[in-house]
Amino acid sequence: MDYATILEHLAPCGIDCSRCVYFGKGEVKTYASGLLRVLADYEKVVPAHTKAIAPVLADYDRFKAILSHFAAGQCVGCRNGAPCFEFCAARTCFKEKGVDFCFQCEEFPCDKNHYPGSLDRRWREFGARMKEVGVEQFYQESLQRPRYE
Amino acid sequence: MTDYATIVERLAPCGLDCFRCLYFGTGKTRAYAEGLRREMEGFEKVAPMLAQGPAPVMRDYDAFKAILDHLAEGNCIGCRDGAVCFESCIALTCCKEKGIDFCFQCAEFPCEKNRYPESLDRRWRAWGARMQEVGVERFYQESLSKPRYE
Repeated sequence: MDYATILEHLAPCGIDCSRCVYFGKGEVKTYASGLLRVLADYEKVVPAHTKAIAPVLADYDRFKAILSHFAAGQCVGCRNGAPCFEFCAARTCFKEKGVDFCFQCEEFPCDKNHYPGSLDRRWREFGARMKEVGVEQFYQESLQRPRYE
Repeated sequence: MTDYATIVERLAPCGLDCFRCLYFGTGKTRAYAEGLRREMEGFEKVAPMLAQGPAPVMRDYDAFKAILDHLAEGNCIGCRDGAVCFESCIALTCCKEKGIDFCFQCAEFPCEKNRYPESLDRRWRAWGARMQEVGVERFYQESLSKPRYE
């Protein structure tokens, strides 16, 4: 995939907006919406199925609440103005610095971002790997791995 | 309109639509659930963080995942291929003995031989009556514009 297309997919921090569960045009939303459609009115037979076939279905209400949550995703992505966190400095800083990704800045990894633990770790790893192998290869590699890790 | 022979492959003798059942191995439910499960791999690591912040609903992510796994593993081959829903259901063997495809085609319909759970019993009677009234092809066509579960 070429650099310009990758820019549409990845946020400045390296997170893949296009594979995020909240992305409005993402696969998660597509699959979740499909499931909601084929499972329309299924709750009417859930009590019978829970009893006769699968006790796990006792939690169907909670399953459906989360499925509906995923089906309603409508994020347009970080670069289109929908950053994950209000406190994320990267969402505006990269423009001021004239770079596309944090790793392209000489201050990387700086202290301006206050990411939650796992994102901080991944932000550093994403940047280090992009620096090492380039954005294109980094992205190619990322597609072989789960979006969430 | 779908032809009779194809409809017989899809519907069980009672009228239930095996093709649209959530446990059907090559059905849409399984396909969507598998796709979603693939995309969600590893999400359990970030769900607790979301639960404490913007999406309290994620506190139930474990329950969601258990049911998603369940739906992604459906492998039923359908009633007419020998995978009857209930051990107690005699419709398939009975129809074969009678030389018919559906219960409603029997003079004894609705008989007392089947002991379906209440909602299935109600639907079995309604389906048979409707098939008798408008024919199998039209019944099937109508059913596709309604939810599988009702």
